[in-house]
Amino acid sequence: LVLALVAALGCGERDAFWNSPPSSGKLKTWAFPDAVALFDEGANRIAVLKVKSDLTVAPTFVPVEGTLVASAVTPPDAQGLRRLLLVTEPGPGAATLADGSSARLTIVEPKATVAPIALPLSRPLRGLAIDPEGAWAVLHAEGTSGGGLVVNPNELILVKLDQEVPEVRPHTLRSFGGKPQRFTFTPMLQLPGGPRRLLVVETEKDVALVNLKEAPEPDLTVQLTNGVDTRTLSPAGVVFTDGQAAVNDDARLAIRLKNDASVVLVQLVPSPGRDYGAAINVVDVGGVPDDVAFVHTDGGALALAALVSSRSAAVLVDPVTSVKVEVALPTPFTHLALVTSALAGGGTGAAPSPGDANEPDIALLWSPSAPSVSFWALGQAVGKPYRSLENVQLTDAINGLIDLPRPHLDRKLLAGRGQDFYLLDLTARTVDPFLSGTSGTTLRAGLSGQWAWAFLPSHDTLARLDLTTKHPDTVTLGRSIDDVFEIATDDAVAGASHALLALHAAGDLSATVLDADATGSAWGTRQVTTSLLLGR
Amino acid sequence: MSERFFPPENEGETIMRRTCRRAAPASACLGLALILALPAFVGAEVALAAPGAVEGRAAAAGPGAREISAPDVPPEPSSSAAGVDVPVAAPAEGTPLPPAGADSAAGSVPGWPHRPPPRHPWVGFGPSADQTSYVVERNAVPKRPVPRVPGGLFVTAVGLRSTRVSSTSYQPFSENKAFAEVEIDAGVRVFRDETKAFYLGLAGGWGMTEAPARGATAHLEAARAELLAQGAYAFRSFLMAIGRVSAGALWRDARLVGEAVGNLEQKVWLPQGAAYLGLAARVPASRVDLLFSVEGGYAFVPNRRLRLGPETTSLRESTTPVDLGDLSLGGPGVALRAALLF
Repeated sequence: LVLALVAALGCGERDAFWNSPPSSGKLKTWAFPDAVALFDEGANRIAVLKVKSDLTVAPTFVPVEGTLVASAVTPPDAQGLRRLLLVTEPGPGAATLADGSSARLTIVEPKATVAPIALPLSRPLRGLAIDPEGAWAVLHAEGTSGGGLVVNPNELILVKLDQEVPEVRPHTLRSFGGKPQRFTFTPMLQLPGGPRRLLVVETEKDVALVNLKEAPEPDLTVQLTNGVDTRTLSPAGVVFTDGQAAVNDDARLAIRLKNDASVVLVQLVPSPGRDYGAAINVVDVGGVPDDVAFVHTDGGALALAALVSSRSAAVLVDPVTSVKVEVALPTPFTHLALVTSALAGGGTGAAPSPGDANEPDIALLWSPSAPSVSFWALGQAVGKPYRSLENVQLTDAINGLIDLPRPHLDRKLLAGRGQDFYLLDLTARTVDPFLSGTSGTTLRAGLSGQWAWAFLPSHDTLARLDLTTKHPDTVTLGRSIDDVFEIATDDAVAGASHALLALHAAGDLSATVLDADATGSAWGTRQVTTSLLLGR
Repeated sequence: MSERFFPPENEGETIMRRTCRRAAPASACLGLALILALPAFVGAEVALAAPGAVEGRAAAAGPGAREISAPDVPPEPSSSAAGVDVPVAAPAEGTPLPPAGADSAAGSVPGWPHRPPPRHPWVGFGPSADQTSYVVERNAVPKRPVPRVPGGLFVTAVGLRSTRVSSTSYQPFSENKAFAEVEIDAGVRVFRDETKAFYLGLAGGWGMTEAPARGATAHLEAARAELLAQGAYAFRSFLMAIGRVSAGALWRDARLVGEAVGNLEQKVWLPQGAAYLGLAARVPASRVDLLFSVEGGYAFVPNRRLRLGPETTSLRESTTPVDLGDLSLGGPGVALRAALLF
């Protein structure tokens, strides 16, 4: 009896919340200009961390119902808002969510004080593609998932985000047997039917164009062929151009193929009863292209540039006449990035003058297998191709380019494949190497544009690189760093305006916050907030 | 001899009727004696359990009882002093019995000048009506011996106390809602009468709990020092009611230890009090008394914000305290104690 009494007094287990660590694996985080969001897997919620000017961290929590299956952050929309999109489906043993829906899209705006928006979905789709302008999202089946025993992978759910109540628009692709592989949102194009945005859906064998206007319009599907044989050709990427601003029938798409040397050029032309039709032209560039882009060459003429690494060459194609110019490259480059806008206004990001739209482009060429980058001045590429290239030698091949915000738009960080990384000055055409001593250094661009950040995951040392003086400062935090974010503080009037937040995910979750802009002896003073996810 | 009990007018009745008529008063007396003897049988069990119970009964009988009991009865034989009540056997066959209605309380039992009075109305084996009447009269006095609290001047106890802590801030520290403590206390008797005793003393307790809390380890330790007042009321010599009231200070040490956390801690002193009631069983031992008690009650501890901060700080790094909300270690609880009185 006594034991029963004691047991009765002590009975009642604590909440399961306390028994589950925040993350069982890699911590899932999303960066915002003024916040960092992370998934508290143990408590099934999103924690939004904001930093005050005194460098203390204030977490707020958004509960998640069901199982999180997809997530993405939108780029800033027209109002500058970035949103976190979360797709959830019923958890194990549950048939539906609390509202009876099979899945849910939750939209969280860390900057706003409004409650998250929850949109019921008809089926749990685990693929999520985001419009680079932040206005659209598309949910699609991914792999074998699709929310049922039988799944139609061509059933999409389009979500228009840039309105007070987001609109959910189911859409079924007209299919010729393919399944969606990649989604690309075009910018606003001047089409014969008016300004329109398109969603380009690449399947294994064709490309579908979905008109995103209010009234639905049947899809336009481009069947892929090289015009020579009957092989099934697969798309490998799509680029587009609006052409001249005043002309509404010169918008074009270029589709490079994964298994053929051809590039399919699609001109969006007038079509009866539709906003646009398609005029297709196939151009052989001499080898399977690794990358393509619409560029402006001499006199602002539009051309399609294709990199053919198998021939160490770049090919310029006139989209109207299909005339080709081949430029020999010093290295078999595989990637092409236009840096023209970054160089406008001396790299300050000043808006280009009206006449700049057709100015010749400058492209940066690089390859993960080559220890060099090249500047390609396309204004000279047609007439004097041998003088159009300027090569910059590196000591190591690079993995990728990291864009930097203004006022250093004209600089890029080149992440080396080994221990080093580089700061490339596009204006001066110089490159500064930085030696990290250990491979695996992770680079982050700062928010203010003054700094770049480098850290080694699972180490406690952090470096701040001054993008103006190119001087690195190192600080040791004493805790293993899992990720770093430079964000704006929540109330920047009194104290620091930019903070560097370093997350320590080992065990419980903690954060070290530094004043990102501190200099001299103030640099390195930090505030540690531990056990961030113990709050309810 | 039977002629004495049968008046001449009844000589003509049958044997059966005569037997029934003779048995009627004896049956009535036997029934009454059984009723009166029932509490005394309980007392006999008590006496078996507790030394000194006989003494207690004699003392507790009081003056009124002494008037009825035989004042000229010699001291109890050793068998009674040992606390074992031996039923008095019926007189042997042929022993002269006092006449019916004789005043046995006056000690005029012929032939039994030194025989101790039977303390239990042990009635059985079909004594005669005269014998029944005799036994009932001599044992109607201490029908129920009154138990007595232990006689030790000092008391010391050890025990376990479990408090149900309902505060949500307690959840990081324990996987259930119980906070267990080891207790020790000591006191001195300041009052005692036949059924009650009162003690004053000091009490102390210590408890600890630890649990994983979302990747960190939460550790809570508490110690208390109190002034203690406790009383006992003896229902029986082996069964007592216990009441305890204590007040003092509680030292609470809460820690959060983690790989990224380091060591965050809060140490506070808080006032605290408790009131417990329970039952204690007394077990005789040589020269001391042992009590085992089960108690239930409530501990009062004020809420205090649980803000865990670093043990050390540096100029380059400061740590934001972790705020877990208000925590009180008070609540209802049970306690098991073993006490030694000497």
